[in-house]
Amino acid sequence: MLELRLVQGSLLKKVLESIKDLVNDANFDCSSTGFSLQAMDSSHVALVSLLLRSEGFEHYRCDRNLSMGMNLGNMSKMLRCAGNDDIITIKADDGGDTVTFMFESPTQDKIADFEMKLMDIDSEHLGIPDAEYHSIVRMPSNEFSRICKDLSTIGDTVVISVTKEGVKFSTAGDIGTANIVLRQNTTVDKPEDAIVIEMNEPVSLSFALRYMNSFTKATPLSDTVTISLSSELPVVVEYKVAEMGYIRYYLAPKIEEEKDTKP
Amino acid sequence: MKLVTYNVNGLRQRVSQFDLLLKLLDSFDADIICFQETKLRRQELTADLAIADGYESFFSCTRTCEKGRTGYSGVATFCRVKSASSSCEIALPVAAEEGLTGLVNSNSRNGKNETSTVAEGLEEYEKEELLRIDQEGRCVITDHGHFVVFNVYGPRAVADDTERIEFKHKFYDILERRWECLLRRGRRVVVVGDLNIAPFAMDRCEAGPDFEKNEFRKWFRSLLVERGGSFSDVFRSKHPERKDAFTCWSSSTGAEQFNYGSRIDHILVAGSCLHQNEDKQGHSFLACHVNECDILTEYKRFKNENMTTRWKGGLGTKLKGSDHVPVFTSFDDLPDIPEHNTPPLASRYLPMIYGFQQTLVSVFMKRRANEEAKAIEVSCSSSMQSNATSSCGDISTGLLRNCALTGISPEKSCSFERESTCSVTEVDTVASRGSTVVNLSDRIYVSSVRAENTSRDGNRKKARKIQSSQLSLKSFFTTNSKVNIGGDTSSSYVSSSQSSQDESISEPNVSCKEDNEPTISTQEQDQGGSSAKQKNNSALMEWQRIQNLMQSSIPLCKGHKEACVSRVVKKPGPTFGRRFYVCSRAEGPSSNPEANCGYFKWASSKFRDK
Repeated sequence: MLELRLVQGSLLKKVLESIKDLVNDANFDCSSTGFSLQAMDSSHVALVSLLLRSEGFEHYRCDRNLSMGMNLGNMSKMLRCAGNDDIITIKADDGGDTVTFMFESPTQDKIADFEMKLMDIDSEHLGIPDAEYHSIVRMPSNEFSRICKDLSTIGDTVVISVTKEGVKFSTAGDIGTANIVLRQNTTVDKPEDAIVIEMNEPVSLSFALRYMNSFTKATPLSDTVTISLSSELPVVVEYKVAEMGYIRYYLAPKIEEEKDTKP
Repeated sequence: MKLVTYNVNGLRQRVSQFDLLLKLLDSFDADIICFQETKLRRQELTADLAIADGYESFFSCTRTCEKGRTGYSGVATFCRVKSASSSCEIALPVAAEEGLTGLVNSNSRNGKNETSTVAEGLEEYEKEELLRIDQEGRCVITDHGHFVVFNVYGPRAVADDTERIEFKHKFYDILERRWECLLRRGRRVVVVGDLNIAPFAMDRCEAGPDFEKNEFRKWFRSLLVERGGSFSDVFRSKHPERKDAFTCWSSSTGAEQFNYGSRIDHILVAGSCLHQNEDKQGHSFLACHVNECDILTEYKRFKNENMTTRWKGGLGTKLKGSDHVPVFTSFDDLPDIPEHNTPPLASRYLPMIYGFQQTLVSVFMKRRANEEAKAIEVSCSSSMQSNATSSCGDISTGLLRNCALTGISPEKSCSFERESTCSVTEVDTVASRGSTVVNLSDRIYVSSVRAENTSRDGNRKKARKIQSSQLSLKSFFTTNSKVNIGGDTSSSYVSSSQSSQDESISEPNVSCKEDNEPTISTQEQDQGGSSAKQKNNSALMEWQRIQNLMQSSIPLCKGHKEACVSRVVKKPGPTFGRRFYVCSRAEGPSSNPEANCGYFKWASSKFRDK
């Protein structure tokens, strides 16, 4: 028996919007500690890891560990039927073939039940290791989103370089090149507007903007985004989910290909 | 006399590929150019897509919104002419008609066509029925005196879509009736376009045994002279044995790489030759006037020299161009025809182009003329304003001349660029005043529209040149705050990048992980003593394992042992939304081991059974 009651239902809606474009279907794993997901995108290049800790739910009951395979597109369709202020409750029976989403309006005058078919999905849980990163950049999430969007109009690869000067995002394409430099800035009115750069070692890595842009779908979840870079490790792009967890995207850097010689 | 047919798969895209419509048209060096699938809505017909110097154009756009089909299909015929009026050129049509039924009339402003009549031979059809067939902008008919050109975009119908098959039937039935009528009257008919029919098995890669049994292919063949019909497939007549001559390749399967296509863009001719005295034995339009015909394969998107850019399941391949290639034919020995003017269907008379969509230069001309008017102090009586709308064509001829005398002042041309959206009403009054200038001071106006065109183009070029050196007018631009908001924010990013960067650092480090290859064993590792280093090393190892796992969980195809690409079922049905893996290579003949091996595997996810 599983019953999770999330008062701030909009969080779950936003979580789904931030992963459904990247991942088709995935297993949600429920344990006594929390509600989590780990999945690869369809080309097996990027990884998403989601955690919503049990403390963040108003009511959290999970009798035994349960893995529920869901088609994220379908799940998103159902969650879109919930109002932004609605309380969302996820219910499932052990070994059942469906999951139920219940939406309660804040005034309790409307209660909606949506039952969705579950899927059997083969997937291996990958233990993602902790690591020390050479550089960690924390910045406003909408700024990061804007940068990725702007650069992808010019090129398809972004080079992220962190130096003591700041962090540079650059790209090159048929029409020209673009460079965007952000400097550390902690003297701001609102802490979420700060740009914090922790640099142990300078790094410079290339990433496919296609993936970066799908990561930024999580922007509504959090005002800030944390980008952790090491020259030998996949980049981690992390958005906090309120006080209850996180969504992390992992992407391996691109190796600089030799430039195509145009005919 | 050269004639080209090309399914452009979006005229806007092809124009931007060639920078200018004129360059696209000139690349064919042809007298009659027939485009299909312009994918333009009527309101999108702007001068940059419809008007090119030295060409007359005739458009048909889809008029229905059924099934969300806006900006869908659409055909256009461009005719290269020296003059649009009083010309004897064959390329300039004597008459032009939008649609195949005679019921569609694009230029209702001419007034006289209020009650359009059903074309000859179609009387037994219901008018509504005909209109329904003719709503998708699939045909433009131009009468060139010696022959009538049907620029046709044939409907596509998949085997199980009975409604569309019915539609396709009616479409071709109507066309055939019209052709018969014209042929009975002794006219010659030239049918060009993407007919979406490959008539013979040799016109399709690896055609199955039942290929030629298809009803539309049968119909197509029944049209041919060899089968008792009236038409000749020009390409096949000139190249009866040529195999693998295709004009269209599926872009979703990368079929161009292995020339896995079909020949569905055709040029058909019917009718007699122009020779009169001799007996008709061995004479026909085809035999006496058709010189050559071929497929313009240089317009193919997939060039063999860029074989390195493998299709890879469509990932990262951006092929420039249409999924079709043009086909051309040339006619010779055709004398000039009696003097005639461009038909009213011509784009130059479209209200979108002539009425409210004005070119920058023409707007400026009118202002200029207006000032001239003031300068020479011609008093404008209000009664003369009524002339303005009726005598539009005359006005600009005169205006252009006025302008050519005085030259263009750069400030003015710029100011109009900024104001052009809001100044329509103003322009109207300016124009009306301008007309009086013409009428009073310019009694002898030149009627050649062709001359007008060249001078307009000349002026436009001039205006552009001046604008490009317009940096000193910066202050003028900044007054317009609305335009600059977007520009300012983006430029602040770029300017900040001026700060110096450590060269050695901005060089990309060689990273050990690669997207495509699972073999990462060549990785070089630092031997570090600190615990942080050790932790990192173990993280590194762990990530290598994860990445190997991620890669190895993609199935390898049977034929080439390469990683597959994953796709999702889009077709409604019990498997809708399910993911599967297929060979990533481009589709090709099954004899070619390099082509797609047909590997298929469901991704291991399905709905739980009840």
